[in-house]
Amino acid sequence: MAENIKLPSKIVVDASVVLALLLPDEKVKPKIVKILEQYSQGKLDLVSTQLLDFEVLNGIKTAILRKRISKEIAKKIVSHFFRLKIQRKKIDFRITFNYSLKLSISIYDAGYLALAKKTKLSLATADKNLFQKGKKELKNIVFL
Amino acid sequence: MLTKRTNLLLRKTDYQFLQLLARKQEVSIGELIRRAIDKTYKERLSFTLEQRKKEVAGIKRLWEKIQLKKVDYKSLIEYGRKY
Repeated sequence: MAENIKLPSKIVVDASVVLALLLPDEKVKPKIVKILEQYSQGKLDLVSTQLLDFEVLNGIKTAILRKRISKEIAKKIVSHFFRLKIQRKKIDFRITFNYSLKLSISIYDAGYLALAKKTKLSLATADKNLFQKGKKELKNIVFL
Repeated sequence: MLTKRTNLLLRKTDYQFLQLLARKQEVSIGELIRRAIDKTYKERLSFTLEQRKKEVAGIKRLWEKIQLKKVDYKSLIEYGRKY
């Protein structure tokens, strides 16, 4: 029985990836479909920081303010977001702070980087700035 | 049925904690560990296999209602931090 259980691999995702997953545009959709396929088959686990919730909800709220989506749709999206059960891991804020200073990125973005570094997992982002700057510290960083 | 015996090393403080908890709940330390396995690992796995497909299907259904072009995800997050 236990031999049949395949443990999933994991990636660290930032808020831009989660937003792309919930609100995909035509460009990112093919990649997102692939991620969701792996996720739904239990082959891929998504991991992030405790800051993810604030960031994703901010993004969804902006989408309403900019009239990209309705409030009703947004509420459904938020429900799905929480039911995806993305693992929230604690980050070391001192290391995060140092990355933020070193790379001139926000504390939020530095947190994703610090988590990927600590867990030795790949970091997926749809944020060009984080990708470019993060490359200096992290080999396994993927741009969506 | 319990058929497999195993030895595991615990930190002294964890062992003392389990002893206290076992006494309080009137179960063995082994039972506490079995319950922790069910809660921590099996629940996560069963969510993985059943709920994930349902959630992904739900998300894809929502996609049909929101046809988006050229979304700047970073900008969505940064604007949301301010307003």
